[in-house]
Amino acid sequence: MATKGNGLAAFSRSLRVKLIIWTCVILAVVVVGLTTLIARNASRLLETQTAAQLTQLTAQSARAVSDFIEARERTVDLWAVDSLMLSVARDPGLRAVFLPGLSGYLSSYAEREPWIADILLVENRLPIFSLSGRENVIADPKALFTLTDTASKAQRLVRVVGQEHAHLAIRRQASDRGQLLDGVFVILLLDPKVIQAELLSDTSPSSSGFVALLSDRGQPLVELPVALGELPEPKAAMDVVSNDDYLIERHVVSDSPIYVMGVAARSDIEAPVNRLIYFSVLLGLAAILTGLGGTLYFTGRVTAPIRKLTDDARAITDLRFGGKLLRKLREDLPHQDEVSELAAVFDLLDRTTEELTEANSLLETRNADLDETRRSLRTNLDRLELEMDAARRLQLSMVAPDRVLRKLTPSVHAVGLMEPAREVGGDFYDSFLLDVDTVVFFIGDVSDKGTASALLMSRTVSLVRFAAQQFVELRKCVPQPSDVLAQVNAELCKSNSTRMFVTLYLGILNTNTGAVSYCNAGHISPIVCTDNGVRQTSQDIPDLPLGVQAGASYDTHTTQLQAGDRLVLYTDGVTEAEDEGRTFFGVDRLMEVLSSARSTDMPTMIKSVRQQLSVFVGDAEQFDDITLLIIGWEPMG
Amino acid sequence: MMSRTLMVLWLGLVLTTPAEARTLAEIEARGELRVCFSAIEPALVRVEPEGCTVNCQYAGLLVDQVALFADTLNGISVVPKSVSWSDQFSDETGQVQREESYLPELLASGACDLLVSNLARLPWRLRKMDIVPLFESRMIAIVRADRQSEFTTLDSFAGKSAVVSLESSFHTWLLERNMEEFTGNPVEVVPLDGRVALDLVFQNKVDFTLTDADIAVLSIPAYGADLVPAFAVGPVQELGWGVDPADQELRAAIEMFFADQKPDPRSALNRAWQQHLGVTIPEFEALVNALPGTQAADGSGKNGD
Repeated sequence: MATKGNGLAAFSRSLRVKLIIWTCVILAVVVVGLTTLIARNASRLLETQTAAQLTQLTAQSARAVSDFIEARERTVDLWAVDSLMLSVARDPGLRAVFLPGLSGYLSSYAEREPWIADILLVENRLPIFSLSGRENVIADPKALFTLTDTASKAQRLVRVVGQEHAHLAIRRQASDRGQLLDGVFVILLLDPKVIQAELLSDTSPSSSGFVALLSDRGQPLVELPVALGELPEPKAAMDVVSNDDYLIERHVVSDSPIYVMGVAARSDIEAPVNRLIYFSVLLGLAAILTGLGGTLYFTGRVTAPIRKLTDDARAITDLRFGGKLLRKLREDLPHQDEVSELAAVFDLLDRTTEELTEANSLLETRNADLDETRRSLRTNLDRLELEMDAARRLQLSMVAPDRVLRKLTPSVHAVGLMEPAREVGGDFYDSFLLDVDTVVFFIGDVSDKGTASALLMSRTVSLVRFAAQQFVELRKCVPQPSDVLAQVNAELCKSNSTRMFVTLYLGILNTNTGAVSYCNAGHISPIVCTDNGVRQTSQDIPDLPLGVQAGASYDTHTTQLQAGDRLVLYTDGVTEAEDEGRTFFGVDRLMEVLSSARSTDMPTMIKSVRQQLSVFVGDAEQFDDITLLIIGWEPMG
Repeated sequence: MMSRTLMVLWLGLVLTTPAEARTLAEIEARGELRVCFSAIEPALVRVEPEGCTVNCQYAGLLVDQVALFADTLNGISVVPKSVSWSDQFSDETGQVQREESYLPELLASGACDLLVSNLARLPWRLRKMDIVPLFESRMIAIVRADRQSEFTTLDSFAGKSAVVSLESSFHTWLLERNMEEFTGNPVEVVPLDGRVALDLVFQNKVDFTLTDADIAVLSIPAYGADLVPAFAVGPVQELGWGVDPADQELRAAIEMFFADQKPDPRSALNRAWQQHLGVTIPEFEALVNALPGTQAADGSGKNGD
C-alpha cells in the first residue's frame, strides 16, 4: 500500500505527467474554444448565406412561376382564337365529329405539359369539352366565371379523392377574328402539385428545405412536406415569417394572386456546423492523441535528463544532507515536480556553496594567518636555530674540543668526540685536572634529547666540576668518585620535575700511578686498549643513574692502567648506531675498530672509530648523540 | 359570289351534247365547264327540286367550289350534272372494273369535264383518272348514340352490318377489312346511296355507316343527338376532283386554283368552306389530323397505297 502511495505521489510529482496533462488540457481548451468560435461564426455565416440564397431562390422561383403562368396564359390566348377550338365550340357538326380530335389535339399538348389538370371549353357556363373527361373536375363551375379575363387566379375549385386540392385556373373568352364569342370560354386548369414537382422540385434552399406555392391568403396550394404552423396572411409582395425551426420567405408571383414560399430548415444550416463540430472534435481528439504521443515522446526526451539530474541531485542531497533533509525539502516544495525538486536541491547546493565559499574565504583568511604564523614561526625558528646553534656551540664549548688531543698532564692525554643527534644533545664528556696528580674524567648521557637534555647536561657537567672542586676545597683531598656523584645526584634530584635522569661514568686518574677510581651511575663500562689488546673494563652492575633517586649511593671502584693504556669511554649512541638494516654497530665492532687502531695516536683512533661508524651507518639517520672520550696514560720516563 | 353561284339555273343537259373528252382549250372555246356531282350528301350538293333531272338548281359546297374555279377560267359557265356515285367510275358498258385501267365513260364521253364529288385517291380509281387533291379527310363511323358503347374499337365492326355507297372509299375499305381482319366474321356491307345511309343507321336497320369527316360534320346535326361519330377509321385520305389524265392543262388549272386558294384563310374557297363547314380547309385538315388514331401525316398513312 505504501509503495502504491509512493508510486501515486511520484506519479503526481512527475513533471512528465504534468506536461502531458497540461498539454492535453491546453489542446482540449484550444480545440473546444476554436471549435466553438468557428461553429458560432460558421452558423451565423451560414444562416446569413442561407437567408440570402433563400431570398434569391424564392425571388427566382417566383419569377419562374410567373414566366410559367405567363407562357400558359399565352397558350390559352392562342386557344381562345384557335379555329379548331372555335369550330368545336360553335358548330354542332364539327363538335360532334372533331371533339375526339380536339381531345387528341389537346392531349398531345397536355402530354408535354403534365401540370395541366384539364382544358375546358365552356359555352354558356356549361362545359362542352373537358380534356380530362371527368365531369366532377369542376365542382364549382361558377367560380370559373368569376375570373377576370386577363389574370390567373388560384382558387379551390374541386375536391379530389376526398382531399382538398386547389388548381390554378386560367380563363380566356374565345374570339373569332377579334370578335368575342358570347359565353364561350377556354379554361386551363393547372395542378399546383405537378407545377411544384416539375418546376420547383429541384429548387431547394437546403436539403430539408423546399419551395412551395401559396394562395394569396397564404394557404399552401400543395401539401407541405413539413408542418410550418399557422402562417399569417401575406401583406406585402415579399415578407419573412421565419420561426425557430425554419427560415421562411414569401414572394408574390408577379401579377398573380399566388405566392412562392421558400423554406430553409435551420437544421440544414446547423448540419454542416454540426459536421464541422464533429470533425473538429475528431480532429481535436486526433490532435490530443498526437499531442499526447508527441508529448510522451518529447517529454520523455526532455524530462529524462531532468529526472536523471533530479535523481543525481537527490542522491547528492541524500548523501550530503541526509534523507531527512531531502524529505523536508520535498514537503516544502511549492510545486511537487522534478524541476521544483531540482531547483530546491540546486538552491540548497547554492546555499551550501555560498557557505563553502564563506568557509573558503575564512580558510583563506586562516591560511593567510597561518602563513603569517608560519613566517613568524620561521623567523622564530630561525632565531631559535640561531639560538640552538649558539646553544650547541655553547654545549660543545662545555666539553673538550672535538677530536683534539688535549694534554691534561704530561702523562695523561685526552681526546673526545661529541656529535649530538639534534642541535643540542644530551651526551657530554669532560676531563680536567683536579690537582697536579689527579685528572677527573667523565662521560654521561642525559635521558631524552633536545634542549632540556642539553640544559640538564650542562648543569650536570657544572655540578660534577663544582662537586669535585668543592670537595677538594673543602676537604683538601681528592674526592672519591662516589662522593662526587652522590652530591651531583642530590642536586639533580632536588628539582627534577621533568623526571629526567643522567647516566654518568666518572673516573679519577692518578697521573702518577695510573690508578683509576671510578663510579658508574647507570652508564656503559669503558673499554681499555692496551698493548695486548682491547678489553672491556669491569662488568660490574652499574649504579642508578643520577636524578633517579635522591640519596642513592654510588660505589667507587678502582682499576689500574698500564703505561700506554687507553681508556675508551663512550655512550650508547656509538654502539647502538644503526645501519639501514637497523643493525646495531655493537660493542664488538667498536672493540674491533679500537683494536685495529690501538697503535695509532688517539686522535687517529677516534677518527677511525668515527669513520667506521659512518661507513656502518651509511645513509641511515642518526638517532642518538655519538660521544667518545679516550683517556691515555703514558707516564714519563 | 356564292349566292349568285348557288342560285344559278343551269341548262347543262340541254346545252351540251356528249361526244368525247375535251381539253381545257376546247372547254374555254366552248365557254362551258361540264361538272358532274354525285349528290350523295345534300350538305355538299343539293339538287332541287329533289329528283330533278332537267332545269334543276344545284347548291352546296361543291357547287360553290366549282363556281369559284370556273371564275378563274375567264368566266366560263358551269354546266352541272348529277350522276350516281358508281357512274363516276363506270366504263362504257356501265360496269366498274376496279382492276382495269380505263377512262370512265363520263369523262371519256365528254359528258363531264370534272368529277367534283370529293373523290378519294384510291389506287383503283387512279388507274382510271387523275384525282387532283383538295383536302384531307378521314372516314368516320357513325352509329346510333344509344349504341355508341358497342363501338369502341375497330374490332367492334366484326359481324356488324354497315351501309355505304357503292364503289365508295368506304365500300372499298370495308371490303378490304373483310378480306383481312374480319375474314371469319365479316361486316355485312349494304351498298346504298349515301343519302339514305344515315337514315338506315338512324332507323337502326343497319349497325353503322362510314362517311367522310366533312360529310359527317354536315350530316350529323340533322339527326340531333341520335347519331354520333363513334371513331375515325382508316388512314387520312386525300380527296379531290377527278379529271381526264390526258387533260393536263385542266389538271394544272385545278391545281393552280387549289394552290392559290387553300393556304389563304381569307380566300374565296376557304370562305366557302367556313360558310358550309364552319372551318377553312387547313383548319379542317388540322381537325382531321387531330382525330385519334390518325396515322402519320407524312403521307404514309394516307390514301394512295
